[in-house]
Amino acid sequence: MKSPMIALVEDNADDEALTLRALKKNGIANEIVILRDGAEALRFLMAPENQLPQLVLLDLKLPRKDGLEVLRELRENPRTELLPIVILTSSKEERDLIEGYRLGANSYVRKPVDFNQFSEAVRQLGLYWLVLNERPPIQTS
Amino acid sequence: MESARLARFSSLRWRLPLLILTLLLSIGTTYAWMAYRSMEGALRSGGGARLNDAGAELADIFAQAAATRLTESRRVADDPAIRRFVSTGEAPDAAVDALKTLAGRGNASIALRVRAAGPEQRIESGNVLLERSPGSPGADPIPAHDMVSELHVRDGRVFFRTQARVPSSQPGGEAIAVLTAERGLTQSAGMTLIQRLVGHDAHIRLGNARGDVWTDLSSRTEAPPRSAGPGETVSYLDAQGQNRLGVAVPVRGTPWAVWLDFSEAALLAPAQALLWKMLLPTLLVTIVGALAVAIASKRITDPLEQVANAADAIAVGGDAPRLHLERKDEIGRLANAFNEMAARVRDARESLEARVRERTRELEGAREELQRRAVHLTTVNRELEAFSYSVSHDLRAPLRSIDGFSQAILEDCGPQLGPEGHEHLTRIRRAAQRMGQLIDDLLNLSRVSRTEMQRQDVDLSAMAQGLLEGLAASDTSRNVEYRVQPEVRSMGDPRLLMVALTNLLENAWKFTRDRQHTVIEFGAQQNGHGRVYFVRDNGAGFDMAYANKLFGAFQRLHHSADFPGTGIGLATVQRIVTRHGGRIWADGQPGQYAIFYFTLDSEAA
Repeated sequence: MKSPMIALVEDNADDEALTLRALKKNGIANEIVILRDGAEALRFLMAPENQLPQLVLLDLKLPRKDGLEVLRELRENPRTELLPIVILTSSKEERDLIEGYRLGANSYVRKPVDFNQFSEAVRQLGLYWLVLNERPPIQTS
Repeated sequence: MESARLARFSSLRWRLPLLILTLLLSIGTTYAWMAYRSMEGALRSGGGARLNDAGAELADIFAQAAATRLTESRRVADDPAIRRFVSTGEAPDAAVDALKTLAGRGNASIALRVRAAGPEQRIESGNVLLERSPGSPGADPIPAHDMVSELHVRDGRVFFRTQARVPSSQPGGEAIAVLTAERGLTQSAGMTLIQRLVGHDAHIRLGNARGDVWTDLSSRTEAPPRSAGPGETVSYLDAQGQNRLGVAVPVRGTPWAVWLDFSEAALLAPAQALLWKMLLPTLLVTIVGALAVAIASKRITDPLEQVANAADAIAVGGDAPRLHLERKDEIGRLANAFNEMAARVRDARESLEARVRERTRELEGAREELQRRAVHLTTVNRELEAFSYSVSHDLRAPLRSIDGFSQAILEDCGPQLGPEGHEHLTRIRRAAQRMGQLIDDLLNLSRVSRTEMQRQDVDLSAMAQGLLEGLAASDTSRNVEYRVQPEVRSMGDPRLLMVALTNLLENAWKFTRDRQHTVIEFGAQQNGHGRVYFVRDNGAGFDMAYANKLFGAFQRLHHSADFPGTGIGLATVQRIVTRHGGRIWADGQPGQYAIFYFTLDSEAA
């Protein structure tokens, strides 16, 4: 069986590169799907032929549809309502935090400026969500 | 409405006539009563005098009648035939004839009793008795002198006797016989006349002065009430419960007394008639007077009521109707003055209303202006919000790239760079991180100003305790003593106060870094103006000369190399304290201590 997949919803190429670097650096070799805006993310995740990822790392400031909108639509869809979603973004604006949790985010992590701290955060996320955490059973409807 | 109804009964219109009515009535009745009393007194004393006079007159009539009877008897006693019979006992028939002359004058029975020695004789003829006997013990004695007897009753009839002594024929001889004539009582014309003269339903009675037998001259009656003395009037209640006035007068020459009484009511009737005659006009005068006053007071109260109604209309803010009272008196003046005042009140109110309208317009303008500004402010605030949101997201992303790729170069191309290249890239990374910190602090500062305050009870002690425990746990190598005064509470926004305390305690933590033994205190004390909170540390302190620069954004009193920081923390604290209506100030000594004091207005209030 293929190792569980991670979906990274991120429009900034620099952040994408740094995130991939941090994942690799921490030895997380799972397949990674990059989705560059909200609409693309929804299209991919809603498509029945696509396998659901083990974890979604979701940025908030995205072109076309922003992260919170993506989150809402995912939670409204029975297929993705239990999907583990971690908001990984620059801001810790209060309204983002509140809205994120209200819409059913599983976690909210702010990207530190210091790359070493960022790398550490990615490591801990991988450890927690890919290893420690038991994923919800896949619903076959 | 209720007050109006109350006012009706306390109104002058009713009170004044009522007062006059009462006054006239009381004066009239008092006068009538006094007149009645004085007339009654006069009538009573006059009646008493009349009673006495009539009583005396009556007594005289009875005395004369009695004397006449006695004289008649005496004359018969002196008759020669009688004398002869008494002296000798001879010719009794002649004596009987003489006696019969007396019987013819209305006497019921005549008796001649002789006490003499010799043969006893007894002759009865009709109602005449002749008797001659030596006398015996127990028989009637010869009276000492001629007399009229007391009244006696026999067979329901009242009668009296006259007794005349008959002397013997010898000169100077002692009386040896008595001539007794017994008579009933009859009403004389004189008595009837007197009764009529006295009037007033007068009653006459005759009786023994000692009071045993009394008669109204036709039959026996009860004894009259006893008077205090002869000739004194007595007032009493008769069997019918009527007041009567009576008097008893002794009858001269007899053991009798005559009693005369009449009805007091009849006597006083003129006084009562007078009372009624006086009361009627009094009542009339009273009613007429009260009516006159009622009309007069209506003439006063009607216009007053108009004035009062008009004043009421003004009092509730309306327009008073103009008063039309064509009068020259005080009420006319009052109405004029009132009209003038009402006009002025109306003018004043109109000008006031005009001013109010003007002010309202001005206020409306000001309100619209304020609204425009509020809208503008809201727009600005929203823009600021969007701006800081954007800053928070977008400004940090490039910094992450700078830092991240610098690190990537260091890791991937490390060997080619040499020590200087390493040094440069490290500086770039440090600068990027510092800028990230600056952005965070600036965002915090602007958030402190933007967020809405929600005041509630905040346990500052628990907050400080938690923060200090967190700091101590972050570096267990340090020897830190912290003293938190328990139960320091305040009304305030918990999140903002948390930010303020965090900044102050982190500062204290930071500037005591080099102390062997760190002491950080939090507490509150009372000064003249209210509660003052403080955070005290025994750290690097500061020079009081620069104390005014402590709270400006980006102002730092220490070099970054010594104590890293952005210089925004205390500015943030000051803004929070100011938003709570408080004040912050500091005291310090370089190398010794620093104390930050602040107040929150809720306590000062």
